[in-house]
Amino acid sequence: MTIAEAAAAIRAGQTSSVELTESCLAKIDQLNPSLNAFMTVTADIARRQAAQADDELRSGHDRGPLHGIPIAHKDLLCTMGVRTTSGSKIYSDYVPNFNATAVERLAEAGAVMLGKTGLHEHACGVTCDNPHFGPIRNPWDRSRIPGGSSGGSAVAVATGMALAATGSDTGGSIRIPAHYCGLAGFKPTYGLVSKYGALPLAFSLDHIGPITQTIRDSALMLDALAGHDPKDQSSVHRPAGSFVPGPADAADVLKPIRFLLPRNYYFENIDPDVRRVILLAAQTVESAGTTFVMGPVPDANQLNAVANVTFSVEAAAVHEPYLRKRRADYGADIAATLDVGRAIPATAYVQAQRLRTRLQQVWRMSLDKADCILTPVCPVAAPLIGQTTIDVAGQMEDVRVASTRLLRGINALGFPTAVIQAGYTANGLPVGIQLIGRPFGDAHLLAIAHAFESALGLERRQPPSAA
Amino acid sequence: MADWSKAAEARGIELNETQKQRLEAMEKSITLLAAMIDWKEEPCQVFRVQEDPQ
Repeated sequence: MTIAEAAAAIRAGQTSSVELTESCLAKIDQLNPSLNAFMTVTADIARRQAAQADDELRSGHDRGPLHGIPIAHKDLLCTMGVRTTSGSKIYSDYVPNFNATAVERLAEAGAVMLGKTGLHEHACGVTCDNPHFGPIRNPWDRSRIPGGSSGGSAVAVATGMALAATGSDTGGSIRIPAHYCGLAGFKPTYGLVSKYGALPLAFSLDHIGPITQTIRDSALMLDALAGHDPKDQSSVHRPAGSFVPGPADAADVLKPIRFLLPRNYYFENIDPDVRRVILLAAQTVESAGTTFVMGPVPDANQLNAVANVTFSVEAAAVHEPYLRKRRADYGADIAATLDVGRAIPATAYVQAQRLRTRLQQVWRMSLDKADCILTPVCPVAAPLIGQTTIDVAGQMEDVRVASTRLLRGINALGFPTAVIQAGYTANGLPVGIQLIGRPFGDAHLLAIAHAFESALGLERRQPPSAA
Repeated sequence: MADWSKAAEARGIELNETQKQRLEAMEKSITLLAAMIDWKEEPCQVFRVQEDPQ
């Protein structure tokens, strides 16, 4: 059930927040032992909040579409009185005495907190094969990774253990699990959603956003999440307005839209099955009367290099005190990543920041000719747990590099990106599409993504492990 | 730009071959990209003096 469907059912008296919450808690009991999506289940809090949500509705106090909707939070968002681990040994006993702004805003919108979802250690990786808390498993095939770092959130939503979840995205951590688990996800423009109370990975690349079943649900979540927060210095002042797509027919929305299909980089070295699914989806939507333009985009390798330098140095700076004193408490892959950051000269970091400004201008010009850029999310469908390299169109690639190379650079630009499901590979694994929009054009991008999703009309399948 | 790996090792940071290759790739890219920098421009993360909240 989507947020939109659940909200309508609650108001029609067909269900209640308590019933939805109990249904999610029952699914968690049933599925979490094998999938490992949740780090902490806050059943008592959820039941109390659900009962309060129902009481409020009965008394005429309606907080909006998230009122009474059971959701989960990625376990790097601080939750008052509830352990917040960041998937790490370092924070394994950390119980914050405050809520992250994202948690606070969703609670104010009436959402019910089911618990905290697992992630790749410190959100610093894509597999969610966590050395401290065990691997999180993909519900489409339990031998595969869900993607990360927000893997627990994606698994919870894909299986109905939660109706929606929060995620964070520093180099693809919302979009990768959305793609590998067959969901929608949204990385807002940098500064639109407060990062206050999110345990940091890389200050200037971290974004908070939703993982949901449909992109319309992501827009509903963004309505609650977005807005200036004086506690976050990167938070921007923007006029308040809804991000939720209007009721217009998909064909009417899509008709004047121009999608840019990159001629370079994004469709090179892609698994043929993934390419087939994406191009078929584009053709289907093109028949609704929209325009696809093939054209060049600026060099994404350059952008990735700038993002990599920024990421590596900022992550090393965040973790330096802990790395010095508690190195043994880090997984080997994280320690290696942080050491690379420690090795980069300070001058290179400053130059990378200067280059970001220049690259933003260059990439913004690409979006003068189109409403958004359409790309694959990842060049492959979900890899196997434990797999370190993967065959991508005949070439072996590091799983981490393959999973992030079409995504990481966009974090350095701060542009909004939406992921929607495009279809399935021949062996039944989900494949997503990434739509990159103009900075602060989040509402326009969500409207396009929603129309695309509607025009595609994909039959929603249930992951085998959700049954 | 100096050899990042050698400089890191001089500071006692031990790097394996994969890490050295990653650093080398980043070093090469940043060096090539230097031509794009507008040297009059400040980095996007700049220091700002915060006003006292009244």
